[in-house]
Amino acid sequence: MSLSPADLEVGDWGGEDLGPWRAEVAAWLAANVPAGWRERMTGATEEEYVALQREWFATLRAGGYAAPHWPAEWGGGGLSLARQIVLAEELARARAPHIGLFHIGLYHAAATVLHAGTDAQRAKYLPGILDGEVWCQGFSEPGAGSDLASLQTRARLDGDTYVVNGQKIWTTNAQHARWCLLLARTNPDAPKHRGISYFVLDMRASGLDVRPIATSLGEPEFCEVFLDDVMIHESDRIGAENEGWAVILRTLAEERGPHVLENVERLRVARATLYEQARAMDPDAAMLRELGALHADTEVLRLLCHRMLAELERAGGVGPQSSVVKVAYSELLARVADLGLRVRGLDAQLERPMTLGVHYESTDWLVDYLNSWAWTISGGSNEIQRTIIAERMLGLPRG
Amino acid sequence: MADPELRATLREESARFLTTVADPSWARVAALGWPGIEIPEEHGGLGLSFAETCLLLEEQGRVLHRGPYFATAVLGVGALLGATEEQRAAWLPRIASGEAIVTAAVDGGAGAALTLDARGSGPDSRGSAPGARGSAADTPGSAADTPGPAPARLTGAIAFVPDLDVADAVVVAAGDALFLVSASDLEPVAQPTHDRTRSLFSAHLRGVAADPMPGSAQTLRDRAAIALAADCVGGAAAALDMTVAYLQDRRQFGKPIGAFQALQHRAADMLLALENARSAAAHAATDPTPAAASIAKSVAGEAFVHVAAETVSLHGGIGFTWEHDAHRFLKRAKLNQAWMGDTGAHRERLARLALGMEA
Repeated sequence: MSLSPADLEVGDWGGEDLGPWRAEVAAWLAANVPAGWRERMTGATEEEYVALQREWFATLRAGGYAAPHWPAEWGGGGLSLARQIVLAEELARARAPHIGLFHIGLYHAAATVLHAGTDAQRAKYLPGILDGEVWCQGFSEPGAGSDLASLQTRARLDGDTYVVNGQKIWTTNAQHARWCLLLARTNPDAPKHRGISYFVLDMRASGLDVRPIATSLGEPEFCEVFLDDVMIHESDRIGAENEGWAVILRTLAEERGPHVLENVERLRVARATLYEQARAMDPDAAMLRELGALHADTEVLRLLCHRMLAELERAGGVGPQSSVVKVAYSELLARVADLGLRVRGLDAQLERPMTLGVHYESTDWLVDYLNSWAWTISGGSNEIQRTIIAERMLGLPRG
Repeated sequence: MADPELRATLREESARFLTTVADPSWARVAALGWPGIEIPEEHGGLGLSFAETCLLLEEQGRVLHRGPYFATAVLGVGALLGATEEQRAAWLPRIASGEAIVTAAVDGGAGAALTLDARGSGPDSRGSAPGARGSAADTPGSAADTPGPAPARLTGAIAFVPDLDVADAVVVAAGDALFLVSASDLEPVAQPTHDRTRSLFSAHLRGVAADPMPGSAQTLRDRAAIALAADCVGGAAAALDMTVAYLQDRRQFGKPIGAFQALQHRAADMLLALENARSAAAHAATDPTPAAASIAKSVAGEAFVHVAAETVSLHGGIGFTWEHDAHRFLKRAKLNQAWMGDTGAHRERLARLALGMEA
């Protein structure tokens, strides 16, 4: 995707001339993105989807691009943030498959054990992630969504083993997962944030019942997970007992890295398709103005994203600024799809075989439109984000 | 762009000056070097960049500053930086010292129209000094279809020209061409706007001598649009600060109203709008492409209106009074939104650029 005169030139990450790196990545992607993968994934079964995810992940690993953000000592790329950003941009521009199946492992699980785990835990889990073990995240419960800290799944220590009972929900990829980042209450008498512990659950353990839930598009993207006397060895607890909340914050902080920029760049790729379709319909002034507004806001989203990453580079972490990016991205995702729906009219209402592995921008606009709620609701709903912005960025009193 | 340290100092010092000196005279502003911020050192300026001009505009926006800074440092200097050597030498040093003010007529609204009087144009006033008149020599053709420095006479109306009453010269856009006109040839008529923090004028040009300048009216208008975006960021930031302070302070139902989620989320949306505006304006100030100008103007223009309108609402009754500043922010925001290309025009232009359509 070349820069149009309407686009902003963003991202002077100083110091290093990134041109050669960009060329290297682009050339590798041109040679390695599986030819015709979109066609293969259109109308694909879940098994075919998993197969392509595994194939592409293995290719990325062979090229050294699977875990660009991990330290080299654990088999990662050890890349500078600037280089990670270039890689994220090029993955989007090359229209490479989105490696959704491995996302929780590569980001949330890795960050959690790297920052809060022991060396033994790192050695136990990290190599498997690179080998393609799938992870899921057992956080939400039927009674604990936005109010995550009210979770009720119980873990009782019996000797050196915890016995876990409870229920998780909205657990993406649980049906494929080898491991689960699990939150459970270890002290029901403590204030709600102080009685939670953080575990790694082996999804092959007995007492687990994983039941896929169909999304509004009929896809089995997430699951309910029932835990009935499931055993977790003490050595699979991350961090101290009852101090899981601090570890959770570390896991969630991982939702703010350069892969956010990859999502944004993927949205721009979808936007390019929208523009082609809009041009073909001979848009009137009202439509042009909507397209212009969308264009401005998506370009500004890139600026917001780069500002967030600059903060990450400077301070080693980002604060509530990530809430700004999350709200802006998720709402733009819906807007692009909604505008696509209106540009295509009745034609966009026709049900077509779905394309899997495309993140949230298949350009089958009704699919993207419905999928966009995955972003406004999950990861702390946008209402929760607005409360965070009000209280933590503006300093308004807690409600 | 100047180094971060210098920018931080400039921001701090300008904020201090603007918040401690009410309605500073132009002489005091000029003494700080502000009008010459972008003027090269050889012409008596500070030789900094447009980004620093925008930084000062943001601080001025915060306090709803009035005065001819926007007119002269954005419009006049913007046109003159690309002018002929003679024009630069004649005006830039006098602007930098605060001795002269040059404004521009680049967005006169729907009513403004200019024609070039071909019979009045002639070849021998090119590069003329301040106040010089075009000659009456007869030359066929008009300056509009012969680009480059050929003298002309202008007839028609200009409007919404900032600070024309105190200006020594005015840059007039006719089509995409720019001309320098002596202000002494004009009789400014005040155009009182609801926004009393700006001082706008119209004037009739009756065959006035017009010294052609290199440069494009559209480029100058884009520069002005980015400058207004910076002003919007400052205004929106100050209005949001004011609102947050009120939400923390004002109590109803036994607690600060800022603890109510309905109001928290409205405040959060104000911040979201401001963050978008800040990013767009800052980018455009350092890389002022046509797209960047349209993005900055439309995003920051809308953000300021949104924030200012919410400032009125969230202050309740007091926000609706003459006494309170909320309406001053809203009126400035509304003028900014409409000026130098309104939101719709900028969005349409962006879409045409993005879709690869003819402008």
